[in-house]
Amino acid sequence: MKKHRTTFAALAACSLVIAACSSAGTSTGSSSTAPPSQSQGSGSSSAGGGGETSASSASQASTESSGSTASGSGFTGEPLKIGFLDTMTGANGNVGQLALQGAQIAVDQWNAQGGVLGRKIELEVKDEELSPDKTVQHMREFASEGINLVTGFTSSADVLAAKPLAEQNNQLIVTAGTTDTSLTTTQHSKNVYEVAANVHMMNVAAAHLAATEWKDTKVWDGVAYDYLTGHDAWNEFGKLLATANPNAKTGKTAFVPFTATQDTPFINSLLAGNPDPQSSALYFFLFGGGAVQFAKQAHPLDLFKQYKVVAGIGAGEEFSSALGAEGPHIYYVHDYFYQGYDNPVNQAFIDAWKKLPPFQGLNLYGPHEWTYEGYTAMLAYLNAIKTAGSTETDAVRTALSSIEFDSPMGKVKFDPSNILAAPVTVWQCQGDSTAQFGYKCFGAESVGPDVTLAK
Amino acid sequence: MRAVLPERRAGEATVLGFAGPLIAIAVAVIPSVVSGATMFLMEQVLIQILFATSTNFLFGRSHMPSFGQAAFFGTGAYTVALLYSHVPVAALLLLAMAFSAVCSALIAAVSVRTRGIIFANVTLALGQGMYLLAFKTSWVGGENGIPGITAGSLSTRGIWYLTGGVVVAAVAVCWVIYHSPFGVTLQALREDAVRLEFLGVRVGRFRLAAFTLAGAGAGLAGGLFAYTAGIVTPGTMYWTQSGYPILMILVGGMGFFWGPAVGAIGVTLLLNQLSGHPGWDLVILGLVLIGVLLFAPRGLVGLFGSWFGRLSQKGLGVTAGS
Amino acid sequence: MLGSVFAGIGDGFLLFLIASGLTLIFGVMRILNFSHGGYFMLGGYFVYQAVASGSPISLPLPLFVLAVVGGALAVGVVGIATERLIFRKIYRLSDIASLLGTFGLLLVIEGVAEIIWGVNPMSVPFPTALGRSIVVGGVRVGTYSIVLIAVGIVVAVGLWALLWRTAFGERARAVAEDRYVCELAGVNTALVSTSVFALGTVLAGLGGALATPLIALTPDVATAFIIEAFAIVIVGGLGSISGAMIAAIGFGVADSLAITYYPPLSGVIFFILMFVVLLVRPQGLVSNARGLA
Repeated sequence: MKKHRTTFAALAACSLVIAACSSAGTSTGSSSTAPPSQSQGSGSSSAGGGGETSASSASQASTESSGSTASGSGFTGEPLKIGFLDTMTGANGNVGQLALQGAQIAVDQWNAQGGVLGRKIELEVKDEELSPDKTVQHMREFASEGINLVTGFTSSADVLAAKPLAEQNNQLIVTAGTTDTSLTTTQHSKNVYEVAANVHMMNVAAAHLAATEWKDTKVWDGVAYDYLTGHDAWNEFGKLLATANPNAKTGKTAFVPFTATQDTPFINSLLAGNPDPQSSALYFFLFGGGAVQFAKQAHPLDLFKQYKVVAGIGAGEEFSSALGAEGPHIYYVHDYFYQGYDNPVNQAFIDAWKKLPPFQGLNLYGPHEWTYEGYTAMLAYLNAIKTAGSTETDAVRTALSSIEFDSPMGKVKFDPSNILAAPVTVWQCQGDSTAQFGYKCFGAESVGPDVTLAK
Repeated sequence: MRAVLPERRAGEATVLGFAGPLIAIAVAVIPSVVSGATMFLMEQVLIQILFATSTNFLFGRSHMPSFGQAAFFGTGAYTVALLYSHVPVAALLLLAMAFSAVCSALIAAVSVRTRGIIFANVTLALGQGMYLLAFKTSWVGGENGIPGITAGSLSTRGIWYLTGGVVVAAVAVCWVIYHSPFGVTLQALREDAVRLEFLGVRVGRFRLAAFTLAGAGAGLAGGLFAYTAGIVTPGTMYWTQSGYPILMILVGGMGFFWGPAVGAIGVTLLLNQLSGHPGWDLVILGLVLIGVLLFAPRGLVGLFGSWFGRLSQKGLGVTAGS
Repeated sequence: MLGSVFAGIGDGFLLFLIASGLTLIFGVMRILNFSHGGYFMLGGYFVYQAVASGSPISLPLPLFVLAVVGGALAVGVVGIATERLIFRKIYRLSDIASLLGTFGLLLVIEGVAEIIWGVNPMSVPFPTALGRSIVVGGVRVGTYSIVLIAVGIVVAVGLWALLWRTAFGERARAVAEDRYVCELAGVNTALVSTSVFALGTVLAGLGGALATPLIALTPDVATAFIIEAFAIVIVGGLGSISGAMIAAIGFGVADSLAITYYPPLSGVIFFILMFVVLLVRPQGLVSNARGLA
């Protein structure tokens, strides 16, 4: 027994040392741009138990700001801490980590220019583990640390968990990655702003194209995840389509469970509708691993070749990157594509992104949408603080609602429902064995933000 | 076969008599000395203590290794989420407990026919089925769950007192049941169900009662969770959530009444510490689980119990065939 | 109808590859091994590492075969190492404690994969000539699915021959029946255990390696498949290879038919079937009270 006890104690000690090392290794100023085993650390800040790790602004993106003291850069006030709360671990950890890359790029750029209101900007990163109770805990931590400005967020449920606390503790949330339409409609809060294009905006853009550029499409089949957002998205698209293009109608649908390991039966049920490659279109509302798995199992059955148009709602180039040369020809309907915009902000963003090391085997030619969302959410805060001349919640909120600021997609502002009125970008990607990463992307165009569906 | 040692109630009673007032004082004083976030974390620890302690009726007492307890935790939580604006707090917590008890009795009625690993998998499947039901059902909010739950007019501090009071009272009730003739019969059930059957004990009824009891405790814990978090999502019912009380029971020591509570504190704090370390969180959690099973099969209480004197003597390890 | 049945059979054979090793290990070691999903996932990542760690562009068939065999064997090596280091000690725990011990190992394997490869989905291209489909009786079937069915049949026959027609099989079955008596009779039961465990993990690795063209590789592939595999081995009868095959194909076909005719049941049908079978026949479809069947 004694021997066992010692071994166990040693094991426990080892675990603690490992934990300590991995957080120590990251608090030394590695930015979000480090490879996964370290970037987790910049995303680390052990909740409650101290050891808070502000992702320091030392980074590859701005060479001169690597010093730990602010004196050289002329910062006058106390550092300004902005909370970054997102899913940094587990199956969707890549979403939070890519968003953090973007937020960190914005912070580094502004710090290189002297910060905001003379203060150096620091990110206080916390992991909400896609769990509402972790969200509540971390929002309360931010409150007790005096942090009133928070960004991040991928899961809509976690925004709903955070909302009452934000209202109670007078904190602001600018979400980077949430796309649930209800957040700015039925669940609207004056303390919550949303940067990413929501499902409604993407649906409007897709329906608009179904009536204009894709007006030859006659039948729209759909595939979506089997959850409420998936069903709602498809139903709304059907209604918008009926308004936009009376000649087109909806056809077969397949709702795939998140837990599915076998997609062939869904693929067969779509094929059973005999889609016509000349006039059929597919509404593709899958993302993450499930989208890749579906495409893999669809590949031998040539599903995607049966459609004139495949419109990907919610997925992005992580899909084409994983599939390489097998990737289907897909039109992504999402908020941002780096080739679509020619302006200095976008250029600076792309330049900073290019200095980052590759991320987890993800083969990208330009910054991902999630990185854009993290970047733009942070730009919204920094511009609002600058305009307000204050970091107080009420002043920043007033500024957020009124200012127009330069984003990678040009001048944008929040609309009265608190969602960023920015265009939706449609671009195409396709597997191509001659391309560097086995796929190529092209043909970006902007839809909106004020697109109306013609009768 | 190791003989069942006589219950050392006196020793535990002394500890309880000593610890009881201390706990009461701690619950009263804590809101004045810690931050809101720490208080929330401690509320979650308390809820997990109740969840793990009631689940231990299935592991440490009767041998019914349920891998679906999160479903009953979730049932209690959803009961509160659906009715919070219509029913007063105390009544709703009782309702949550009762409803979870009914659900678990129904599930027990069909699953107690199986034993051991099969039982574990049947409860896993049923729990997962309930998770999918919550996930797919629009009137319970689907994947986003039900947000905006409030506890009447209770403030943050009020919710803390509610949680503290309910957990202390419920754990005390568990203690009484654990040491009652009923609880001791469950213990015998774990040791040798066949012999009990020959002695004329209606084994099936005891198993059903134990499962219902554990479900009631899980439901009450879930109800408290809904009030503290303010939101309930289907994630609370996911099968991995059923693993946490089991992990806590093992870490603390399933042979002791206080084992699960010690485990709940240890595991919640460990998980909190691991937050934000992709990959490493799983590695360390897995190593702790393996380490406990191999090197401390009687849990932390068993490991360090001898420091507290006789308390350790009543431990019954998890080792099979001993 | 025929189309969905055929698709279901193809899916069932992939599940059988995972379940066969799981039920084999249970038969001999009496341990329901959660970490089996981890070995399955590792098989996939080993193939990825061997063939696609650049850009996933094209994959010649011989290279793929080499990578699959190498990947499966490499998983077997990992299996032997973990058997010696950890499982030896887990065998003597109670059934539930050992189940949890293997769950701990699953978490470790999943965590290590997340540290090495991250959570971004990755994939391996179809080997040349196998990423197509042919039409059989009016039904379009992927050639790769046919390969999977063929491999599944070879594995099933091979396992049967190994267990019932060789000296090793005789020893393995004897240890499964009564380890204690075997020890008295001078059988090296530790060696038999290690060999069976290695074989089981090679099968898991083979399943994962062969699955790569059909799935998105992420660390949680380990848990995505293990719940279904558990359902299969339990419904089939613990320790029964033929039962696992019947259950795997049954589940595959049932899921496929559900999706075709009543989609809301997809994903739930597994649990319903498992529940019904266990209530009617708690010992599973094909069962032997102790040992392999």
